[in-house]
Amino acid sequence: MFAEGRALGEEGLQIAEEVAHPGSLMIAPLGLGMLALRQGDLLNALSLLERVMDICHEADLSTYFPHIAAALGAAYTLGGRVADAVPLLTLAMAQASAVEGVVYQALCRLALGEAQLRDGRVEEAQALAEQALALARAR
Amino acid sequence: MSPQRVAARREPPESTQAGEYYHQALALAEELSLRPPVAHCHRGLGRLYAITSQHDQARAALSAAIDHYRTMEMTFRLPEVEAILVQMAVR
Repeated sequence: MFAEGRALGEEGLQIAEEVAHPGSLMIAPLGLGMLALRQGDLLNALSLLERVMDICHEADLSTYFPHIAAALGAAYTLGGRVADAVPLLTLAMAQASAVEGVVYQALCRLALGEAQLRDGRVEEAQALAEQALALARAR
Repeated sequence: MSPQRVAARREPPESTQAGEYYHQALALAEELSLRPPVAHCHRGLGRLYAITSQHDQARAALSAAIDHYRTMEMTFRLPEVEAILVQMAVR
């Protein structure tokens, strides 16, 4: 299952590199990074998602920031880098709220809640998880 | 102290609600064939059962999580889950 996804993602990345399309050069490794994150392949997830975040800033594709930050923040948390995860996810949550991006509001809250839980802030984590659940159920 | 009071002290106050959330999430993940979340739900349930001293249920849930993780080659969480099983076996 993961191998099939990885093969498709790598094919997509190859096409993006051939046509040198900035948006596709960001989206293809984002998919691969999220796949690595889901599988728990932390080294690859961090490498891919940090590269994606760099492209997001360099190509001024800020619309995607909450999406990328939610994944990168989750990867930081998984690796125990809570101090990196919390400010990133807090900023992403604010941006997602500003544009009323409900899906990313929920994802950022979920990821930030996991980071807070990892940091021992149980009440903050519970509040964020409940907000994420309410957003998900509303949609 | 009575056994009931010992159990009450050990059991986190919101463990029932946590269990309900895990079961809801597991049912939804299975319905949608979301295999990684299915594995994570089994892990979460297993941890919860272990904390609340429901050892048989804990072993079943943690074993299910291990099976799913191994099948999908999701090795990151395996040491954590296996460690809980070992701790339970020692007790």
